[in-house]
Amino acid sequence: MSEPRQPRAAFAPWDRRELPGIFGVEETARRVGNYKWIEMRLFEALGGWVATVPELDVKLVLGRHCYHHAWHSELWDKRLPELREMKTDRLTLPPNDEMIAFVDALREPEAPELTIEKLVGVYRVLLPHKIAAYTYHQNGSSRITDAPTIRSFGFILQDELEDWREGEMLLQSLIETPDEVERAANRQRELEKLIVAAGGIAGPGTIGGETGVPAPEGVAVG
Amino acid sequence: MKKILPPEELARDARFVRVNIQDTIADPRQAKVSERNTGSAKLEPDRPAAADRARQLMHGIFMGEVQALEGAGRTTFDFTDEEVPFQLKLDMARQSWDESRHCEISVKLAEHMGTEIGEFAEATFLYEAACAPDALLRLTGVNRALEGLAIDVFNTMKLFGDHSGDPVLAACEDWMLADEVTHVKMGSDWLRRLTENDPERRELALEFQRTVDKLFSLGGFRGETDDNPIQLARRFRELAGFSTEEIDELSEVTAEAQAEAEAAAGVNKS
Amino acid sequence: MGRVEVTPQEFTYVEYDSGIIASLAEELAGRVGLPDDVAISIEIDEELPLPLTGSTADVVDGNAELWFSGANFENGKYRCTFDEPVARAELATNLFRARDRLQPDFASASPDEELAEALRGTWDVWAEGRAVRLGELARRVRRQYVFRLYNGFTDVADAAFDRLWSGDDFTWAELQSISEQCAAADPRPASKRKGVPRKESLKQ
Ligand SMILES: [Fe+2]
Ligand SMILES: [Fe+2]
Repeated sequence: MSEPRQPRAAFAPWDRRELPGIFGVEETARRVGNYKWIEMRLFEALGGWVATVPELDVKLVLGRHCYHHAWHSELWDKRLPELREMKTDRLTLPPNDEMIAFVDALREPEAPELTIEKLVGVYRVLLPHKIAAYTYHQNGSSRITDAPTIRSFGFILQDELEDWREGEMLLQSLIETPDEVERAANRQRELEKLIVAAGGIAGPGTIGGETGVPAPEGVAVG
Repeated sequence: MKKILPPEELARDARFVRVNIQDTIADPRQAKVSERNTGSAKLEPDRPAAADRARQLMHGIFMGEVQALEGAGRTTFDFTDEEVPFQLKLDMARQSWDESRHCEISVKLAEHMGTEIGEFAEATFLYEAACAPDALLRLTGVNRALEGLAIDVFNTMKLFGDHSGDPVLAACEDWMLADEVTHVKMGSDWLRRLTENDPERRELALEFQRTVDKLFSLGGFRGETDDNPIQLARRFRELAGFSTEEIDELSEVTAEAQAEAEAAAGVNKS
Repeated sequence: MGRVEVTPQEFTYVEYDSGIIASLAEELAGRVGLPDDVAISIEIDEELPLPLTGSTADVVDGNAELWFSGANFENGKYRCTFDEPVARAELATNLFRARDRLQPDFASASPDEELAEALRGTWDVWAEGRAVRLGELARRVRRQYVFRLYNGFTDVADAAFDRLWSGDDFTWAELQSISEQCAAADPRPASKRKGVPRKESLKQ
């Protein structure tokens, strides 16, 4: 039996968590505000589309996914005050006007024969971008200082990945002819251009690169 | 996509056929049936045509769930962040998921009872309550009136499942009933919160609810007498935030709806 | 004039055609094997809409007397309109039961209005199964639901259903015995079982 008063390291040998992350409090809050904004616009669109899609299975899946993204927006809303933003609405914003243009285009289709267009926008453009943005942020954050955000990423990414797969399978079951392949590809091309122009869901630097990644903050602990 | 989607535009596949509920209520055969002395109209296994009545009601429940899903979904979309609180939108998204599960449950139950999707015509009067352009009226119409009707219907169906010894039906209805109580409670809570300092607006919303409740009583389909197939579920309504006075008042509304429908059809009850 | 008589001749509330119903019954009676010399009278209560279904098939003085709620022929999607596949299945099922009643071993079977729900349910499964084998519309799960409602939601009842649905020959005594076996396996309290005829009827 070990001696209880024997000094032990604060971190077990297998615990490789490190400081710092690539974002400070302010940048994290800004991004979380962008995340909340896009989750809201997404769950609204899914909720609105439920009544406009005739395919029963798609209708029911949209109803379910609508809540997933609403819950994500709630997690981000709860995180904001912990990141020193007490008025969460103040940061619940798109990163730029290009993002607004993307969302407007994403949510535009209404007619019942446009299910492919609706789903491509969500499952072949927006969700892949969200997954990339969340993964980048999760991997770049310190699992010590920003553990609460990372914990939310864990839950959210699990939903996103499962929903992405489900949406993609629905699309594959709907796309049967060369003409429908064209429709899906055109739609993806059109929206991809818009989200690229926005720089991603958190604007330029959403997944790093030259434009947006700030220099590491905080004290480096070796 | 535009705000406020009218009922005519609800998207359906080729199996579904639309009917106007007023045509059904005004069907002269309904008046003929009302005049007959066929005993209690309550849905019970030992009543004539019990199986087909339950099957048709199950299909009606399925259609109601689809419309409740569509209504909740539209409420997440139709109002801006300035028009409704964030939490209200979250509640509506949660309800979308619940209604989506209810659709799934109803499809399975319909299969269990040998009912095909689209076997019976669909009336869209439930969704119509979800078209109010005022968020408060919509919440009251949908979450207090429509969801309240769902409580009454599910309780009736659950009792039918209990009485017929059907292990699947009773258990599933009980799960849906739990969710519907939550939805009505959402309506009761939001009505209180949104009108805390505005008694006039509150009265307006309650008046709208009474109108919708009367419509949803379907000329005697719902009520508290032996003539009504669907019975008011007092206990569950209390759980959902209805006061005894409110339930008494609803009971009067259902009686009025029945009397009006009978008068319109020239029913002669001896 | 054929051997089928349909009442009413003209319908007021529903868009049914007594001539079409008579010719369907005529055709199906032959396929069901109802002897040619058996007259068939069909009464339809057009005041009863869906879902108020109901039917009886009795034999009086050697002739088949069928009664149907109008709901039994009604199209669920389009109110008041005639659903021919459904009507054919209903007619065939009840003509089978009328034919059964002409067999000597069914002589002790009570008239339909006096039959217990459980026993009627048992007989209906056998009759509808035969109609389906003639090529008429199959509504197997619907029929099974009715059967379970009155004979129990049990494995014994489900096995009995399968036998009845696919079997060609049963005697009245066998139908009674099957229903009794289901009742013995039914865990529901006796008050919930349907061993007695119900008090009310849609038939006037
Ligand atoms: Fe529901
Ligand atoms: Fe509900």
